[in-house]
Amino acid sequence: MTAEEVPDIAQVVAEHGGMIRRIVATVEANSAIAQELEQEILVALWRALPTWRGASSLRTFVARVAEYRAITHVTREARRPRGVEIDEALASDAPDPSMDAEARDVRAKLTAALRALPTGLRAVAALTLEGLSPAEIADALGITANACSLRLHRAKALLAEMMGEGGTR
Amino acid sequence: MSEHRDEWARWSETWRSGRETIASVDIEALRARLRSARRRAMLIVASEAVVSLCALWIAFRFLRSDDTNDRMIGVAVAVFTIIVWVLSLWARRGSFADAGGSVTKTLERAIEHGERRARVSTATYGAAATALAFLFALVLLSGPLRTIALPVGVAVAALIAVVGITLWRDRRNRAELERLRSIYEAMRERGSE
Repeated sequence: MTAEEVPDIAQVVAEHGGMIRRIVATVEANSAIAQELEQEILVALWRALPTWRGASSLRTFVARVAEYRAITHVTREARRPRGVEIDEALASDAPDPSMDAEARDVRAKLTAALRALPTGLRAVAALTLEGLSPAEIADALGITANACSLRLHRAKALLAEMMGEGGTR
Repeated sequence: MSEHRDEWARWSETWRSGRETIASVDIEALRARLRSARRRAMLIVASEAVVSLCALWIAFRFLRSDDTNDRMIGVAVAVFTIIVWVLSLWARRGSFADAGGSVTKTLERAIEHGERRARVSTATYGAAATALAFLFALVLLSGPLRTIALPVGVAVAALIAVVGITLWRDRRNRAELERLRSIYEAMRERGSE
């Protein structure tokens, strides 16, 4: 791939910025740390973009980089003591004025439920909600399609339980 | 069943609705971050190069001495420095490669890199122990201790410094490796979490 074919980072962010923000929201509630993580993802993405060969869609590629950073962030933060959890339910959960109240409520519940899922399940569930196919998710995470389906099944059941819907199993 | 599918589709739609996104990309801020990361990496390489050059300079001074003991110490310091430098370069292979592979592939690469660094630390301890044994033999076989006290003292101090730095880095590396392995295990588990 020539330098001319490398996607422009600004354009990539314009197209997939929403997905990056939502992935970050599934792992980080603190607004300042979430913004820092977004910047980390953008830097990683910028460095990785020249390696994109078009074998997978750009969306899958962006999801890969974002997920890797998000997952490593979770375990890094889990080992680091946090002083005060004051920023819960800000920025990443902040109500989007373009959504109605019910949608905002569902969205907030989904975000909280995703954060409560184990790492492997959260990644699969978040990417499925983003509209990626099981094959794309398996490609992004580097797992088999079978493992992806198993996880998705489990994640859906847990999410349904946490969303208070029940009876999906 | 189709009700659950509908429910999931509704969640997915809601999840992606709304217009919030990363407002705009501050290219200059990204560049500054990249520059800072590169500076850090270069600083590490430069500091290692300076330490190695100092060690080689000391070795060179010993090698030019008329005293056989001094020349032997010079050889030991030079060999030790070269071994550690070569191993460090080998361990750094691929460490600046960008993420872009799948999550588990990237994790695998990071784990391999950490394992290489751990092996380099082990080799450094081994090289330090060998150099120490060499110095000990030299002290036993040489004449009066006062004639070689200074060069041996310098060599021992350098060894202590190298082992100290290696211990500190090794501790950090092993903690990072443990973290990466735990993520990897979580990612490889087949839906039974």
